[in-house]
Amino acid sequence: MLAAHELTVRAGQATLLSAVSIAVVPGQVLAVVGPNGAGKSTLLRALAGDVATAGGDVRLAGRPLGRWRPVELARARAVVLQHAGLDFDFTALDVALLGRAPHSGVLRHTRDIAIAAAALAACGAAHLRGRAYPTLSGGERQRVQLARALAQIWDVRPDAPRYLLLDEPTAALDLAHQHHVLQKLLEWAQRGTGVLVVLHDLNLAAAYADRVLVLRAGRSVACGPPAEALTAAVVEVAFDIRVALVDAPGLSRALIVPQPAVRPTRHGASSEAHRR
Amino acid sequence: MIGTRALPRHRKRRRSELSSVRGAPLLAGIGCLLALLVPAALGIGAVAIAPSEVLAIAASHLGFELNGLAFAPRQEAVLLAIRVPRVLLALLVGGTLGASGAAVQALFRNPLADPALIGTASGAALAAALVIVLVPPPPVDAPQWLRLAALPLAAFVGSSLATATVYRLGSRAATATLLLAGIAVNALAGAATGLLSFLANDAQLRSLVFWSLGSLGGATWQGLGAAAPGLLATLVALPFLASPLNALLLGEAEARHLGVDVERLKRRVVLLSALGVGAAVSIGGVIGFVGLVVPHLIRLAVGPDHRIVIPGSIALGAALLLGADLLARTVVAPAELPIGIVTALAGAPFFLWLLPRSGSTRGAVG
Repeated sequence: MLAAHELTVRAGQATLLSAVSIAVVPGQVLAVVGPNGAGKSTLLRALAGDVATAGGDVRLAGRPLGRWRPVELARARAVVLQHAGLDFDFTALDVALLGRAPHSGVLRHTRDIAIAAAALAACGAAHLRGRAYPTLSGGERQRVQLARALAQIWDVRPDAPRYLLLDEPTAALDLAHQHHVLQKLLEWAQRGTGVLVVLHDLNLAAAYADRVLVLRAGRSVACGPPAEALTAAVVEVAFDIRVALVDAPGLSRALIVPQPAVRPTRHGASSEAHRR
Repeated sequence: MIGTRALPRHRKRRRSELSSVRGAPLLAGIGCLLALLVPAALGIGAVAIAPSEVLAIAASHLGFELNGLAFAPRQEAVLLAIRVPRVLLALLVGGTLGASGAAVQALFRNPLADPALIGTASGAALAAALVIVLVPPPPVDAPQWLRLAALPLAAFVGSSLATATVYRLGSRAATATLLLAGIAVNALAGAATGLLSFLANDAQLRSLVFWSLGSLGGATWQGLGAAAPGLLATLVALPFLASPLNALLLGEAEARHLGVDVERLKRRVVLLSALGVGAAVSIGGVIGFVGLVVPHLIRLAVGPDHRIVIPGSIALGAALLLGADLLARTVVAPAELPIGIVTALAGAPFFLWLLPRSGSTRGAVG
């Protein structure tokens, strides 16, 4: 289990996270949602071992992160951040292959190449493998980065920990690929990976997550299965916007639909609207 | 196990998908180039020495006679005292500059970085200038190593300080900030060096000019011995950083997630490039653009995998500098052009050609 216990993170005077406790459990998808500045990315980075904590701790398989060697940690958990650019002409296959770095020595093995190629295929990016990474669109790059992370934890032993931490992996993806990626993450979770994914889209979170953590201003507002954690009341408190939960034929769960106070009007008339 | 089920059967994939596969032919090609250049460099000059005569001289020093191959004592003297150290120096300095350039570009995650552009070389030159102008010559009975080591040591300190300064200012920022920081440090070092030349006497002035233009003309065995440790340390150590440098290109946080000790890696790159460039400047003066141009040429040929780029940059840097030195001392014979001029005349237009192209490789959105 990758667990944060009473985690507090500060940056100068600001408190980014305040006594947040959460665990990423192998076999489950945990979605972290919240408004901008709620601390979602900070939580993810703290679980990845990137930020210094002002209180509480993060443990992987019972051991504090500080006691793991970087290479061991890299073999147990893969992180995909919202990605900065790469100015060098690596091909997509090269980038996916970088995910094997914690496993391979100086020489590259044929097996690593096969794993990288398979990871690209799993993310729907097999056709991109010979393309230069800087020439890819934002969504294509995201898929290649995900492939890199999958390659990193591809062949872990069944009894060893395996975690995927992803910061808004769907941010630049089109509708079909958003679902494709989350479906892939769900499959990996079902085969024993612990998945944490930061999402903005509440409906995606509700559809794919086993549990949802709702953050606001660095604190946990709700945590639990989507039906409990993403109620209209919780969303209104956390996001400062009214929502309606709408059932529709053919949907297995209710859709969360925002109900903004001011409705846009096309006719240029006064836009004072009624609150429903 | 989760992975094996999904692995495709291994098949031959197109060579271009793996950027490092083209490495072997490239290195072989550069090797051939060197095989041509070295005898040429050994043989061309005021005293001409044919390759056969070079062989004969080598053989006689190894203790056996080669039938039919004779050489004049003058040729032997010139070869051993002048040509060989100069060729060795060109190879070592060229290789070091090439490798340091590749490493610095990875460190800054920017293909436009170059030890000269980011102040490393001018920092070293300033330190050397300080030693030449301000530091009194050591007393005659001072140990030999002190006289020999003072300049390379000072150059190393100067290059380290300059690189560290530019790094702290520019590493996390866009290209513009990086280059501006380099421009600022270069300007400061240049101004200080200018001040020192104002204070210098004629002999010191001549040495100062030497630093800023670069020349391998002063190559002696002693000088080579003083600079060699720094050059060799960089040449030997940098290739081992190739894999972590590949990961670093993704970003510092990403590299950390891949298990790389990023702080240690950054320190090593800064130290090694400062050491190598410092040693190179201490004996050869400021030789620019090699660190920029050579890694680019290698990347154009085989892609950015440092496992090929670093050794390739060493080989190509050695070859190019040897060629440039040959040009420098033959084109206006019997005078010698400072080699820094030759590399700048070739390198600057290349850099101008490169700038708009490097912008165009950034991916489009959507």
